[in-house]
Amino acid sequence: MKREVYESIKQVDTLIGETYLYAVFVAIIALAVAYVIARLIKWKGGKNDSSPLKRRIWFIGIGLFAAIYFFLYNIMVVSDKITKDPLEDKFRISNIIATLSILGIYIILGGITMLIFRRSKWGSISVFKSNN
Amino acid sequence: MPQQVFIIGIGGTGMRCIESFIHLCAMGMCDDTNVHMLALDTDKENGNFTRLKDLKEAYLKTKGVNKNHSALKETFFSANLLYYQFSPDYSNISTFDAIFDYESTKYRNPDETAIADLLLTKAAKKFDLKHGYRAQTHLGSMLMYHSIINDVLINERGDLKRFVQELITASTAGRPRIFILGSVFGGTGASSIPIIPKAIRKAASLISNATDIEQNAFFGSTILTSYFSFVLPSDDEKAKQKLIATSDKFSLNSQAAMMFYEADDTVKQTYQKFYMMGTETLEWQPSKFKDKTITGGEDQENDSHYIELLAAFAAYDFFNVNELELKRLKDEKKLEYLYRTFDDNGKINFIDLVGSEKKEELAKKFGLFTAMSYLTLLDKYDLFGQAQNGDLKKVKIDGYEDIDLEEVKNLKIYMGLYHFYFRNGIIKDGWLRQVHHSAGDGDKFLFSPTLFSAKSVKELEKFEFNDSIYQKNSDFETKKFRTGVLGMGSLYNEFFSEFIKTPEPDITNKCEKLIKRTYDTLCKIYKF
Repeated sequence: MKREVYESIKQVDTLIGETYLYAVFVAIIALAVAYVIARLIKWKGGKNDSSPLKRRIWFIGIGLFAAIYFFLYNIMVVSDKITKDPLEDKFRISNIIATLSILGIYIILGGITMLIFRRSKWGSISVFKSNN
Repeated sequence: MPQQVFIIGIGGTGMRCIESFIHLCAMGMCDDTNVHMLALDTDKENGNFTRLKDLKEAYLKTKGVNKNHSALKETFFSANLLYYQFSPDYSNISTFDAIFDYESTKYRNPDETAIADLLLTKAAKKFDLKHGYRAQTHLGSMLMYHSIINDVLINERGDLKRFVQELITASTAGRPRIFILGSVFGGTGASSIPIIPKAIRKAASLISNATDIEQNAFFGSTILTSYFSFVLPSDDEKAKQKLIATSDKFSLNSQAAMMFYEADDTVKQTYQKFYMMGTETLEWQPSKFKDKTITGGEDQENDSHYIELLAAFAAYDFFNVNELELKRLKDEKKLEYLYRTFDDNGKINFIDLVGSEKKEELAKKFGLFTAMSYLTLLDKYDLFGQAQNGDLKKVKIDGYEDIDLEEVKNLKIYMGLYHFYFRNGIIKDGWLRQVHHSAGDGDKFLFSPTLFSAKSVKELEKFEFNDSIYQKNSDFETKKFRTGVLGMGSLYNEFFSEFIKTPEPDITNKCEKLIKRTYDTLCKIYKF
């Protein structure tokens, strides 16, 4: 089987475009996973309910995992397929931006939805204060 | 404008009946009502009197510490309780002879002592009145009547005077209802039932001539016949106490009292409704002491009985009956006797307490209040502790973290007295469990038997009150909620998920606000 390689600028530009698109997907999937896990963590009674903290830890963990996994995958698997060093450098910069985009989308979109659904398990992750 | 009702509990049994009525108020059965409650007992130290005082204190403090209380609707603790108490002072002068100054009067006014000699035995004149009138109703009626009049005359700021003043105000504005709770088989209750309307009228006339309470007000009472017994006293005890009320005479006392009420025109023309109740047998032995007779004092703290709850519902019925009906009875000078029998299987159902129209309301409020007791009392849930701790801020519900510590503490005390409390790691029965026990345990009383089966904290914590409050195959079997699919959820998780979605009630006092929010949440999840 012939190994897929990226040799031309055009190919790498397309790859970078796809990488940004994947970054958006990864951020959304990570959010969905974090949401499901947040829902699965039960409210606990008694003083000092630790469930909001657990959700926050999971939220941070999933975000970091998604970003790191995406970054490393691109470095270790995708970059390897780029044959020319200058093009590889260009992709690496784009990879950093895409990874930061994942974190950005994850945090901003997560934050906005938490703000909207502030009185929910999802909302309990945020540190926003109530407006009542 | 809240409804004004007046309720008077007399004697040891009256105290326990009032206790049951307070629980009805706490369940929310007396919405939008100012309940003026007078506890009348000769025995200040009586254990049941003390328990009642603790209960009302917890109720009042739950509604607000150093705050104005008001009547609310559709919540727990909705009634505005105004509590008054009166005990004739027998601390120094404690026998009839001493009150009457018998020895001197004998020389000064022999005619008077001759009447006393005719009506009262030697023992009746010499027994200690601190523990009640000990089935000496002729003596009790006279002493109680004069104690009431005397207190209104001399005690300017006394509870009794304030109670009568409230009654005068209500009587000027409308036609108040006064319900009297007490037994007819003992001393204090049986003595007081016939004379209370007269004593109140006289007391009111000493304060104001503006209104005739006896004419304006409607009167109802329980005719609570014998339903418990206690150990018969030994000869030594009899000699020591001079006169002692024994439970073997309770049936006879009840019969004599009923014959008197039936024959007495004053009673018949004053009261509009008598609610008759009692049990077939006297097997119930509520005293904590099985080897000696307790005549009164702090040791007399009897467990509650379902008959007392039935008496509280008699008052509830009287307060809710159509005014035209009471007016007709009053105008025609008729006294209506009411009674209710239970099924042959001995089971007590919601319908037996309030009839078919209100059974759903009772099942809802009684059941949900019981559910709230778990949320309040068990550390595993501790909703109010969470609020106090600021945990609700985590779900962006602000404003409960400064809930009054004293109010939360008293709510917990109240719930303990209602359902169960812990002492030295042991579960003690509250009112609900005592009443269930009196009905014969098992499925004999309203709720599922599993509700009462927990014997340890662990068992209480394991109890799934989401689907085990109401009895299987009852009208309310469907009133329950699931705890997620395949055991993924939990009882508290379901409750709290709904709780945070429940709109904020428009109530100023934080503790009452949280109670109302809990009530609304429970109504939703139990599908009421």
